Amino acid sequence: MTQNNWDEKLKESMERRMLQPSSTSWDKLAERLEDEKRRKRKKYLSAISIAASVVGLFLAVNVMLLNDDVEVGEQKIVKSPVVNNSDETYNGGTKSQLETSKETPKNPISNSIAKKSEIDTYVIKETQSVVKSSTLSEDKNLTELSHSVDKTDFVEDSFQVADNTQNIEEQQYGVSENETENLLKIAQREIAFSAIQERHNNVDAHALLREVETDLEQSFREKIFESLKSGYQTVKTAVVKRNN
Amino acid sequence: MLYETHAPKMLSVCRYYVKDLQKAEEVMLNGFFKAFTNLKNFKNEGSFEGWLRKIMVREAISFLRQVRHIEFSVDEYLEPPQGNNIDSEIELDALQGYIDDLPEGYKVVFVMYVIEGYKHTEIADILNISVGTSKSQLFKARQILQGRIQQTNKVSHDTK
Repeated sequence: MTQNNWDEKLKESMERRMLQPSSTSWDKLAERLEDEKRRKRKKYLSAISIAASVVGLFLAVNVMLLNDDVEVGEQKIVKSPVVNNSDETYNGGTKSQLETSKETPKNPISNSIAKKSEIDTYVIKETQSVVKSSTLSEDKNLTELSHSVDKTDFVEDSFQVADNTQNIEEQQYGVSENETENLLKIAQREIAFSAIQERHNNVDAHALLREVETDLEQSFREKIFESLKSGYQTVKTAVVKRNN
Repeated sequence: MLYETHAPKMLSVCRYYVKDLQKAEEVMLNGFFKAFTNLKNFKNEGSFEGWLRKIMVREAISFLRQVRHIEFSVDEYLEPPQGNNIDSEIELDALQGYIDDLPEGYKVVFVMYVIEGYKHTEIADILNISVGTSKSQLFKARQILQGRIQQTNKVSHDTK
């Protein structure tokens, strides 16, 4: 306790003392505080400028990237060619052209069939000639037709067609245009004859014409194929009969 | 306003540690500069003077470390001398002179313990010494001071 008292007394004595600072001490302190304030402001401004430059750079890069994306997007927009397939209605030239264009050019039959307009008009002419001949004198012409289109004539014609087909097979090439025309001609005659025979002497010229027209309405390709098919069947039958 | 109020006291505090008055004033200005630039750190947990005083003590110790190496002699702890009284007639300047004459290590520990009121653990932490070293330094400081005061009292009594 004595020591503590001594310490307390010493402390009280020392605490009583006050020393006055010099007159310039405050000026020195104020100047140091101003310098510190200026330094902090500079630091703050430099930080702000750095942040602003970073943000500006970021925005510029974004704008450039967006512009590049827009350009690339525009370039990617490619105008595809418009394919007009609206011509669905039958047009003797157009639709058959589209159909035949799909077929391989190496097919000789298709090449021969490609001249469909000529064959088409030829068939029309043939059928019209048959119709005309029937309309001149109905009964008389019918009988004449029935006699004229004799079976023997028909057989002879079928033999002729068979010979032609044999020639084709020997040649190993497709049917020529003339041969195709002949086949069609024969097929049309047969069709007309069968129609006349089925009607039991009751032939209507206009009905015939209408039938022909309806037949024409079918696709030319289908028509050709059907005619070829029927002709082939006929030839085959004739060949078999001849062989027998 | 704060400076005018607390500057005399703070200069006295710095004077405890630094013998030269001009250098003590520089230490005080350094202390005030740090206090004003870190006013936001004052959390109103104690008095402003107490907070300011702590800053001054640390600035003074930093100054002493920069100027000269503070030596702490490692001696055995001895019982303090008894029956020494401080004569009120001893002038404060003389007392300050006695403290100034102490070795640096003794003086710093003595002032921190006796005048500033730091505990030995706090002194050891601030000065980076052991608690035992702090106690021995204090003892030595007291010994010397009490001897000087006794001598002064004896002389004054003799002259009377």
